Amino acid sequence: MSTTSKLGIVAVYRPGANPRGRSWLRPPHLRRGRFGLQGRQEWPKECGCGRAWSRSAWASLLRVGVFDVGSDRLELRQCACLSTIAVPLS
Amino acid sequence: MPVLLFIEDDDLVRRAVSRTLQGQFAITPYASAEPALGEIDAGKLFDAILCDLILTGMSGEQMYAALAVRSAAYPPRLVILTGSPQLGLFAEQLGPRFITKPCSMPALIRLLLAVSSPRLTSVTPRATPNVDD
Repeated sequence: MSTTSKLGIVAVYRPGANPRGRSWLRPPHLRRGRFGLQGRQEWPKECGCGRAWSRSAWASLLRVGVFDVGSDRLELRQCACLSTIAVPLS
Repeated sequence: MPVLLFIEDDDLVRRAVSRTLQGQFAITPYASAEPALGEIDAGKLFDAILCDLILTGMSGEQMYAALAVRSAAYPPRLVILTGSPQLGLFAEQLGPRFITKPCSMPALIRLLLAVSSPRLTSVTPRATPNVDD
């Protein structure tokens, strides 16, 4: 399969040649797992205070914001101990 | 390259921030304040210290107090990274040296470079009060 861009550049896609598929065609925010953190959180998320939050409980925590750190995007929320904890945004 | 001590208990934040600062600082990351303070007590010099406020065990505020007891050189080089901007009286002590998460990485780097200058070449310990006096 091949793709032709507006500039006339032809990209040939050979399945199996690159296990990640056409990763170089993806926008940077979708390529973050390549050199940075893997964009997947293993649940539950544990805080240093010992509390563990399941995926559904995580959504109930106070949202602090999204932290863009280099190629990584982290969602920050506040644990019940007031510490800020993070999971990667995927 | 300035030497940075970074204390952050969340693994993801610690790894991501360390990786991003790597090009501009020689970083020693720690998940808690006590072993980081041990490095200072062992005589290692840090041009800047970036510390989370709420940590398991010793907090960022307690770290500030512990540094202040050891030497006058370190408190002005401590930057507090926090997700909760309500620092109260501690904020007055810190002045502009606190930054809230999520923050802009260029702003964090600017602040760390500012507190790192001039580079630390030696530390004069505070005089211990003589209990016999």
